[in-house]
Amino acid sequence: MRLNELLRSARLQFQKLDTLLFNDLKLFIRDRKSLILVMLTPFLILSILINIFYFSDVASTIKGVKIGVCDMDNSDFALTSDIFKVTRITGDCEQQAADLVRTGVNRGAIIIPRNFQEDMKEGKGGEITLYLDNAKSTTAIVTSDAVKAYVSDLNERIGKEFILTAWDNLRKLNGNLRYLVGNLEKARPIAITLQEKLQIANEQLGSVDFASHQQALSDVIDYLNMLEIQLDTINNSFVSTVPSIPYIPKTTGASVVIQEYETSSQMLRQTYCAAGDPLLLIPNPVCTIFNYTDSIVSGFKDADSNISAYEDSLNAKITELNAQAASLNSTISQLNEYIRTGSDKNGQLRERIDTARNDLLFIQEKTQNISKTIIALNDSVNNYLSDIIRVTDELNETIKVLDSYTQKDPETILRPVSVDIQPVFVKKLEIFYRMPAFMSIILLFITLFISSSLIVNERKGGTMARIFLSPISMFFYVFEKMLYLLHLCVLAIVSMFIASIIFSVHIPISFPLALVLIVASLVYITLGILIGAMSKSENTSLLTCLVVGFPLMFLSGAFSPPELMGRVARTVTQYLPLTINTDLVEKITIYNTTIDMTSLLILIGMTVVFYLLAVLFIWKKPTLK
Amino acid sequence: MLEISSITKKFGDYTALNGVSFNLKEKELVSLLGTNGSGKTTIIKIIVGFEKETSGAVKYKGKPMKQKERSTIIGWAPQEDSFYGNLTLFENMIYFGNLNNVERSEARKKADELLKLLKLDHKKNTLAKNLSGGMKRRLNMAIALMHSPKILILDEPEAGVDPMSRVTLWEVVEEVKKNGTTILLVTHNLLETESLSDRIVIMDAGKVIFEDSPKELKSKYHERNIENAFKRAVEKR
Repeated sequence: MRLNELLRSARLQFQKLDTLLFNDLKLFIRDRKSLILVMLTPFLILSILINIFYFSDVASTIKGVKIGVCDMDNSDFALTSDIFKVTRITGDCEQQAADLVRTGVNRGAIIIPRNFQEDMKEGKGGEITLYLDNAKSTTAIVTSDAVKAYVSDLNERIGKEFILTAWDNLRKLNGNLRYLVGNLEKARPIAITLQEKLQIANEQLGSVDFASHQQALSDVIDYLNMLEIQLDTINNSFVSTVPSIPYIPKTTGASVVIQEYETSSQMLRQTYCAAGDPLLLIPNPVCTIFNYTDSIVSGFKDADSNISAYEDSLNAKITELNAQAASLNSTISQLNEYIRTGSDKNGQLRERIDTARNDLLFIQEKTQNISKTIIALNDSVNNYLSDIIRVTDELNETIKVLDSYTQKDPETILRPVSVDIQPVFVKKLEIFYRMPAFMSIILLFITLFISSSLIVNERKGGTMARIFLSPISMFFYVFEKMLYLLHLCVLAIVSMFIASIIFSVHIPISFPLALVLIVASLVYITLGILIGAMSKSENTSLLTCLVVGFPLMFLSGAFSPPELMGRVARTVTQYLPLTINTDLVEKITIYNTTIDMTSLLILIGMTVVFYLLAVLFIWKKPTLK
Repeated sequence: MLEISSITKKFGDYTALNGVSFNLKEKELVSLLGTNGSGKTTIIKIIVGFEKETSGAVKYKGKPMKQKERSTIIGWAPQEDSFYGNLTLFENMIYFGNLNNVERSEARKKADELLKLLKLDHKKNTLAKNLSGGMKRRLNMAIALMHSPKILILDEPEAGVDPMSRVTLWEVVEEVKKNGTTILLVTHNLLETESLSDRIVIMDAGKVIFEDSPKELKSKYHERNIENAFKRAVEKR
């Protein structure tokens, strides 16, 4: 019984779902507006977008951009490109050209200043002014890039001319250097030989013992000096005479004293030593002293007689010597006479010594100078030869360097680095890369509009209130609406795929792509239902859809990449459903990667949140009246 | 059968209903009358469950009525066209019948019966949007009756309907009443519903000021014309 009830209940639930879904689809088919919105609008919008973005790149598509060229130099400036439609203005026209841009007549103006060509020729450089209508960003970028490219070519042309001339001069210089080096190379062996000979001469000079020669000369000079001094000494030594030796006087004092002693001692001896005293058992000391002193004085007496004899002998000798001195003095007088008479020869000898000494000093000085000169000369010649060899070597190096330059093409120096752009994708039309974003945006708007208006209409018409009064939960009701709207989303997606096929913008259909589009559709459906649940009228819901949809669209990166956005927008955009949806579709269709499950789960999470909020809002207010 | 017991409803400081009490007996037709802003729509919303009462209760057979019970007990025909214009009459009825747990085969049978009862069987396969005003009201009523509710609430069914169609409409209401359905009729048209109504409930400023038969109303205010009696009742208040 209970099982039967359960089965009946389940059948009734399915019947309800089936009825609701079938009814909604029937209503959709009978509602032309919805039919157009879901089936034709995606097709039409995508067709329009495909046509707008049916080009390879911006530069090749833009044509006829109006440019005014104010040529104040009457130069040969010629901006020949299909991109531009050039109008030439001459005279003092800068203001006029700028005004034409400011008033929107032209998209840009190029100002060639006076003396531009002359300045270029003189190498002063020049500046071209470009006025840009930056209100039109795309044409502004293209114009700017094209003019920069032209100026770059112009710079290259001018630079090339200059470098080519310089190259010719370098080549000539190199030729001259080669000639010079050729001759120097010929001189090199001679220089080397000369250097070797100098080396030998140096060695020979080195073997001469200049020092010993110098020493010998010095010794001779010293000898001459000494000779002169001796000569002077000799001359001076014979000036004085030998004096007489005085006689030694006779010594008399000792004999007088000895006599006085003998007299005195005689008297004393008689007094004290004449009679013998029997009483005296020991000899008389005074007599003993007298005996002693008598012996000493007797000695003195002998000595005195000897001295006197010696003095006599000495005086005899002195007499003899004085006689000899007199004889010597006589001889000295004769010698002085000789010296005096021989002074002329003496003077001549002195002169000869001076001359010889001076000659020797001169020779010494000259020898030193010659030695120094030879060394200096030797160094100079050696340095000179070394310089010749070094210069030759350096010139050879210079020639090598010049060769390495002059063998190059000047263009490779002007443009040493070039960029070889290798696109990672096969070159396709712009629309191929924009399709994921466009499809997602169309899906977003179609789904938001249809979902929100469905809910508003159901509520407004009272059918929601009726359904609310029937035994159907709001969860079930919203789920059914999601299911129904998903059918419409599938139709919209199919419609877009048809458009892509018709316009040959092939999008590879795959399970991951279908899954992502379905999940994205569910996010937009629940968001649309939520907007509808919160809106009191169709106008409110449509406006809310626009308010929600436009930021999502512009933040999705479809028209402006997130890298160009501000920091806040860049952060916010990565959490927005349309951005995640676009990113997922791009990864599958362009980058051929697998589904990013995290992103997909975020979308599913958003669906759940929007679904719960939508249920809450509808449950709180199922009717407008 | 249905008891509205001391219901008060406040919207912030504003008291829309102030202790409203009345009841519906089985198989009777009660007309709910009142001036604009008297609280008729609010009490209907509370009965069908769109609004929650601040205090009091809606009781069915003596017990507070749950939301689930409401969907089976009450059939509600709102003032506006609460059906899908792009569905035929038959499709609309089947659709709402199914939503109210009526099985498909049964729903078809019931739809046919009701269409006949409400004199719409000749328009069975016409798109609902192409019906006249009176027919739309009847379709509203038919949809409300698809799940055979015990109580039918009709919210100003005569609004915007021409006199000729109104006559048919009241005839249909009488037929439904004869079939044993309890009806709560919200209306401004006393003259036309006087004969149908077993009782009248008059509301004014969120309160019930009269609850009795039309005859009693006229008697109370010594008026032959029920509209005059109603006017007196409201003025006296």
